[in-house]
Amino acid sequence: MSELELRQTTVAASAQHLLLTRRPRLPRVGTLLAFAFVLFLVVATFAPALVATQDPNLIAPTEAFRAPSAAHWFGTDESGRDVYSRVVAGTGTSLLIGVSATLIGLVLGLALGLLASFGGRIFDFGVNRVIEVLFAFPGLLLALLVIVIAGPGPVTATIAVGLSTAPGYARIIRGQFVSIRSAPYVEAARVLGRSPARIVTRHVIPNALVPLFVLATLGIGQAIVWAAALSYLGLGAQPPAAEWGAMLAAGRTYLATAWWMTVFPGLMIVGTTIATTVLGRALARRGKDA
Amino acid sequence: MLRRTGLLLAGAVFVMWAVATLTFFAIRLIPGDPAQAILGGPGSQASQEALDQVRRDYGLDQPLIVQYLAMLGRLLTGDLGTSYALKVPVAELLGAQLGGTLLLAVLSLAVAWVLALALSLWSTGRSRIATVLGEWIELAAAALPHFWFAAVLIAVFSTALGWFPPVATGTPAGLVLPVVTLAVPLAGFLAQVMRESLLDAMQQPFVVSARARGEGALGIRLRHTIRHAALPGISLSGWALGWLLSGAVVVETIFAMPGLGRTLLQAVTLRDIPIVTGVVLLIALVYVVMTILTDAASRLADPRLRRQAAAR
Amino acid sequence: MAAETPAPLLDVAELRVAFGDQEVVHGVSLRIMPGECIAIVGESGSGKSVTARAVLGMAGSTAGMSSRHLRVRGRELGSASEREWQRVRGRDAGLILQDALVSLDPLRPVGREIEDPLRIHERMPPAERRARVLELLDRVGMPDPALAARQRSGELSGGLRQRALIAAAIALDPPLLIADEPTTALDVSVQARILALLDEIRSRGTGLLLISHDLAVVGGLADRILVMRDGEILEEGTRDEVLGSPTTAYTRQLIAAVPSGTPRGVPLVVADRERMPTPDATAAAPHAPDTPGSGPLLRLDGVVKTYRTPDGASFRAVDGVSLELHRGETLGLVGESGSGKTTVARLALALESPDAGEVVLDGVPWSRMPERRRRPLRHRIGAVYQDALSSFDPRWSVGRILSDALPVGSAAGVAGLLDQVGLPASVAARRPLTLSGGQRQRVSIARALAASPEILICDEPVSALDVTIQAQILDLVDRIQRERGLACLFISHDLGVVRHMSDRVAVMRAGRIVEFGDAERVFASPGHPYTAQLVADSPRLVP
Repeated sequence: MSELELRQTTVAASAQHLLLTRRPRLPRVGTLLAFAFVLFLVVATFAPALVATQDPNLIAPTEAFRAPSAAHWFGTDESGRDVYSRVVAGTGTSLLIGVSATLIGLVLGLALGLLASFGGRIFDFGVNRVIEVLFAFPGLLLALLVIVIAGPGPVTATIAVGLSTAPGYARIIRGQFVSIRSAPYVEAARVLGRSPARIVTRHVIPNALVPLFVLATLGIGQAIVWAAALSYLGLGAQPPAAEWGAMLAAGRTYLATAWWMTVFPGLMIVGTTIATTVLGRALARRGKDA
Repeated sequence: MLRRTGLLLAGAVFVMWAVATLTFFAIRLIPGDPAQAILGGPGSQASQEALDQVRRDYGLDQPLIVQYLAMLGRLLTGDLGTSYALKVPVAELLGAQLGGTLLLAVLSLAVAWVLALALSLWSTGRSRIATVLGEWIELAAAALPHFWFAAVLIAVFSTALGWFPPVATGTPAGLVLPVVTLAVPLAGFLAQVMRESLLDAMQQPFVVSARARGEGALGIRLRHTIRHAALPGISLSGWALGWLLSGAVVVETIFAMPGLGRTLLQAVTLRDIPIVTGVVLLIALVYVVMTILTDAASRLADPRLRRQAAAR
Repeated sequence: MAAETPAPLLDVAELRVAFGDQEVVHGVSLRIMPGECIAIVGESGSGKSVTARAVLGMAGSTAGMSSRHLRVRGRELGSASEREWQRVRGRDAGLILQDALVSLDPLRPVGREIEDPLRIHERMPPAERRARVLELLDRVGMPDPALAARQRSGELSGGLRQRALIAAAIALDPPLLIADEPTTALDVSVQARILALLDEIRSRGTGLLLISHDLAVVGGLADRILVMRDGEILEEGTRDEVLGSPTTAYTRQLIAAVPSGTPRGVPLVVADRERMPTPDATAAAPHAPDTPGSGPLLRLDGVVKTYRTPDGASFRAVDGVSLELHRGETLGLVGESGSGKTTVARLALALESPDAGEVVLDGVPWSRMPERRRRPLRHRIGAVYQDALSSFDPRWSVGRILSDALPVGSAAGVAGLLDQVGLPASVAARRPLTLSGGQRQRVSIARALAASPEILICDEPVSALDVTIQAQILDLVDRIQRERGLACLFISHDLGVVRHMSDRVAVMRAGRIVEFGDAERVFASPGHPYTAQLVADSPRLVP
């Protein structure tokens, strides 16, 4: 066997081919960080004393408007309260609002979606029109309308945000049901002689609900943002509640002098949204690979 | 084609009617006496005669169904009623504000589009670092709550650097921060969607064919994949505008810009029902029109949609 | 003066391609001369497509490629940069992929796609380019070049868009053409014409590298055949050598697996065939119904099915079809895409009801029966589908799928079913997603058998499978049909498969049956011109 001159060539790195054999993903590091952050939020919700450094309601006028330091990680506000501890204390309220609003939206969306899919053509038509109409009230507007009627406050804000997310969920859920009902495996079940009830309970609903969990995780971040927006506008939780949006509203006046009152609560919101999105996507990926 | 347009228009009219009806009955749920609100609020100590007079003037003493039909009739002529608080015709008031809000929304949409396209094209299909970086930037951008982002921008660019004014001044410079506030989070979201589409397109056989003809990476991006990436962006533009209109409420308030959003907020606080109704209807109208336009644009850009409908 | 031997258009020696540390092509060598057609034949995973791409430097960004030499038109390209490759692609060599619907940019007019190589390599001005595009479209046989140039791939029919794809590849008249499964997505008659076009291009001096899984297709065009498996060339030689006197067992297996040459009843899998010293004489004869005088088990009587398109027009998928299916016989239903054969299957399964006519099951009205009464009888008809994977609930394991299909689900029952289709009991714990195509189809067959049906309806059950796997599945279906005396309706677009599997056959076109009769007779001496055309267009192993 003669010796072969092998010229090793890798397709040139400079080529940067467009065809990737694998989709790149966020590194696992990101998922771990997100998980850690969410863990922190959960602890802050149920046992704030464990992570807060001071009493969030302790008023100390002499300490007002201190910049971030070792004693006050996030600085102090206009009443001398420790911003970090207040942010921690507000976690529970903010998360509760976000989760509740998402739940309301999901349940309503599920109800509408089920009605549209299984109520027959009239209901399908009707619900579709209702969803279209509700969509014509973009985001905040529906919430504002609810608040006009019911008055401001954290409870109404929660309901308002929940209502405004419901059409989105309903549309997705209905789409899921529609595509599953015409799926080949549903037809195969018909050929086997299965009754419609059995097909729905054993095939349609379990498969339709699979992506919902992921959707909800992604939705929580959005719900928190909208609720905080309402609080910021003075229509949700009111100061001196430690809810993040309310804290941002309070910090608005002092933006030029005490930027930390605005920046840190906002960062918490951003962090929560990112963390829930990353976790939601990680869940979706795991579901696909399973 | 004509049939489809007809259906869409009919749908649009239906939505507008439904919104008007919904708003009408929702408004009736608001606690308090509208006649009192007209006369200056609950603490106004108005006399019984004054209240009755107002009720007659505004038709508030008629049965509900009559009021409803009267409202529909007025709508058809473009009469949106008179503001309780400001005592001017709502249509006039909103007409002046609409331009400002629309300008803000459309500019933000355009900027968001450009940013999203640039980001996804730059960061996809090249080095792994670029991709990961791009994904994180999108994520962070989409997570920015605009009310907070506005504050941060003001703090940095207005207070600290003094480049842009912190409130709207009617000059282009005064528009920069508000537009950036709205455009960046939207760009983050659009970029994520475009990236998915771009990645999918890049793995399609037609890219292989194009490369086999000697096309280089840049040519593939500009001539082929960019179109595919942009498609979902087009169909999302309707929803995006709705999101921007919501965001305008907050942004106009923060930057003290005249616009529908700020007007709406004030009206909500004052329980000024005609204005609330008017703004809601106007926004719904804008949204419906945008949806129709988006639908037409999507079908123009993607011939497969046209065929799909015909072949089924 | 002696004529110079022309230089090979493509000269590859010891080509290796690896993805990461996994080598998928282990030292392939080949050479193509002008006017020659070299075919690489293999099943999925053989590495034939990777080879075709690697020869153009397009194996993929994560691929590592090495070779003793890789010369295109005499120029060494083994360590060429992407820039150098771009100059070669389109000018010295063209590539034709399968399925022009996705191999041409669906958003661009095909005229633009064809203009690309002209713009990139020659920098032709636009007017000249457009003229050349029309010339090219005419050359590939496009009926209305000016119109076609403006259309997108989705607006053209399958055959026309494949022609457009070919036009784009030959735009600069490259001396070398690489065709990777160029006709796989096409109907038989269209396929024949596209192959003729490729042959014509070759006859003008272009060298053709043809990649295919279909030996019969290759047999019509190739001068030399290379049989590839697991990244290696197992056998190579002239067409007559490889097809006529194959030297390796795998090649023999491939040849035997082609159904058209094999009479009914003879297994396609060589190992099983060798166990039978003589063809089963009784199997070759047409089947009579088991009990004389009993009527057909399933009868379609003048069924009509119309669909509505969104713009109000109506479309007759099935236009007055009458069929009879008897116990113990396999009735083949063959037709091209759009002929309505799948709709016939759906009507037989009562998934749709006919707009006119009726379906009768064992003398009892089937299509007219209300669904409530029909359901308990559905176990009498089983179905096997083309895409097994999508017919399974994505969340269920094989065991659950089969257990659910059995009247009484039990582990023993599941194991019994798996055994009947040649799968080990351990498969029950796995998910269909983790199984191969052939294994999934076996599970699908097992599920169809679970309720002990009397009728089996198979709708394109092997179209998506590799040739050797196809042979196994066809043998399995045949054996089961015989052992249980099932009435089988076997639907396919592949004439060879239908011919091999059926006792009687019905030929369908545009919603109607144009010919019906004993399978051998219909294919050997077709009565209807359409059948004759189908038979003539079907690629044969030995032309």
